[in-house]
Amino acid sequence: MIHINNLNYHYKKSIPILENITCTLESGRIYGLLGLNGEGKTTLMKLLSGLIFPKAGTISLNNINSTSRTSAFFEEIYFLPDQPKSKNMTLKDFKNIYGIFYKNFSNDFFYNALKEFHLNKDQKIYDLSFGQEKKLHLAFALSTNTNFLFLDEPTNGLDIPSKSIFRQLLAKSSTENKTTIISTHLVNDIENLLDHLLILHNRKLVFNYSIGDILSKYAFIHTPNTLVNAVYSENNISTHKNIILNEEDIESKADIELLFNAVTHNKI
Amino acid sequence: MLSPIIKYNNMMTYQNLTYSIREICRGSGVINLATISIATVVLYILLGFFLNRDIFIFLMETNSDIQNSGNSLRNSLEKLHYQNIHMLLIPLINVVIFMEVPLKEQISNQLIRTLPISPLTRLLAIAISIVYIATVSLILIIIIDFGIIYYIRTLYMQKLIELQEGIGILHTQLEMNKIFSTNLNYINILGLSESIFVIFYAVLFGFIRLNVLQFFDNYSFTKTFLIVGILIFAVNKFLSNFLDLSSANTEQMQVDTPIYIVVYVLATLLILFSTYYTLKEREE
Repeated sequence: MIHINNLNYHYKKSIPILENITCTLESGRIYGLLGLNGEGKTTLMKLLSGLIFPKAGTISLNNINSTSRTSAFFEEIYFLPDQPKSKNMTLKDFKNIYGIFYKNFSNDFFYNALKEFHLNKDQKIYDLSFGQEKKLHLAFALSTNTNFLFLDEPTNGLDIPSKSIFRQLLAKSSTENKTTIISTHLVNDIENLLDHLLILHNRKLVFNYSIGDILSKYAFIHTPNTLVNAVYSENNISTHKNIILNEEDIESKADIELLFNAVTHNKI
Repeated sequence: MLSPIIKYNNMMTYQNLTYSIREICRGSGVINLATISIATVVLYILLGFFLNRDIFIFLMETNSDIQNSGNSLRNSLEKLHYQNIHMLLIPLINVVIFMEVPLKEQISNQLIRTLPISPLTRLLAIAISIVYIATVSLILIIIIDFGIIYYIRTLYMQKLIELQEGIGILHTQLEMNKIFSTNLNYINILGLSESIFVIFYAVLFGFIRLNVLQFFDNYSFTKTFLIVGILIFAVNKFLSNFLDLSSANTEQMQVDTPIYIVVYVLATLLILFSTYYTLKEREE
C-alpha cells in the first residue's frame, strides 16, 4: 500500500510542480496516472521511487519511507522510465546481471515475454530499435515481480501488436500484492486494464476514483446530437460523445480520454 | 520503526557484494583482464617515451653513444634509472578510463540507482573494482619493468664492466636505484613497497571522481555552483598556505610530519563519508 501525505515538490521554488497531494493507493490494483505535459507525472513516479525527495510531506510504500533509499525499499519497487538507458550486452546477459538483484525475478516470465515480443535472448541491446529496446525493458520490469511497479509511458514506441502483448503480459504479472502505476498519454492502449484513475492538473491531484466508482456515477454515451443533460460532451465527425450523471444505472464503458478532457476542463 | 527483516536486508551481504561487483565490471562492458592489460601496455609505451626515454633508446639501440661505445656510453649506462611515476600514473589513468561509465551511472542511470543494494555494498563494490583495475595494471607494469631491466642488464652489463675496466674502475658502487647497480634491489627499483599506496590512491581517486561527477551534475550552471566553487578554491588556498607554513617551520620537509598525517587522514575520511552519502542520499 502506498500512502502519500500532503506531498509538495518543486525543482525551482518559484515554480511548484506538485502541491498538497494526499492519497492512498491499494495493493492489487492497476492505477492510470494521467495529466497534461509538464503536470508532474514523471516527477511523481520519481518521488515514489526515491529518486527525488519531497520538499514537504511524505511518501511511504508498505510503511517504508521513500527517502530511506535502503536495499529493502528498492527490493519492493521497480521504476521503468520512458527512455531507459541501455548497455551494450546481450539480452540474456542483461537479465543475468540485473535480474539477480530481485529476489522474486522470474526467468521463465522474462524469456516467455521475450518470445512473445519476438526478441532473441542472444541479440545485443545496441542492435535493437527503440521499440525493441522498450520491449526488453518491459519484459524485464514485469519479470522483477516487485510489489510496486511504476511504468512511465510504457506503450510509447511499441508497434500495434506489441501493445496488445504488453497488455496480456501486464495482466498475467498482476497479483493481489502488486500495485502498478502507469503514466501515459496513450490511454487507449491500456484503458481496459485500469482499475483506478489518478489525474494531475494544475499541480494538484484533481481526480482519484476507481473505474467502478466512475461508472456508478457517470455514464458514457454516444449520440447523434449533444445531450442537454450532458456534464461534458465532445463533437466527433459522426457522433457526439457525452458524459452524463448515471442516475438510471446505465451500463456503459468508461471513455477515459473523454473523462480526462472533462476533468481538465473542470467539468467534473 | 523498521522490522528485523528489513534491518537484515539493509545489511551488506557477501552475495550482494559479488553481484554488485559483477554489475560494475560486466555492466561496463570493458572492465576485464584483457582490456586492462591492453590499456596498460599502450599507456606504458606512450608514457615511456616521455618518462623513461633513455631506457627506451637503449632498448631500441638507436642512441649514437651505443654505436660509439665510448665514455659517453659508460656515463649513460651508469646513470640509467627508472622514473617510477608511471607506476602511479598508469593505474590512475586506467581508473579514469574504465570507471568513468560505471561512476557516471551511479549518478544518472535510474536502473542502477534503484537496484536493491545498500550504499555500503555499492561503496565496497566500487572500491574493489578500482582495486582490481589498479592491481592488474600494477602487476603488469612491474612485470614489464622487471623484464626490461633484466633484458637491458643482459644486453649491456658486460659492456659496462668492460668500459669501466678500460678506464681502471674495477669496483664501482652505483646507487641502488640505478639499473646497472651492482647492488640491485628489485624491491627498490621496481617500487614494490610503494605499490600498496598506489592502490590506496587509486581508490581515493575513484571516490573523488564520483564526488566531482555528482557535484557537477547537481550544481553546474547554478548560483550554488559559483558559490561552492569559490569556497572550494578558498579552502584549497587556505590549506595549501597553512601546510606551506607548517612545513617551513620544520627543518625538513617530510611527508610524515604529524600535520600531514592528520590532514591526510582527515581528507581520506571526508572522501569516504562524502562518497557514502553521495550513494545513499543522492537525488537526481
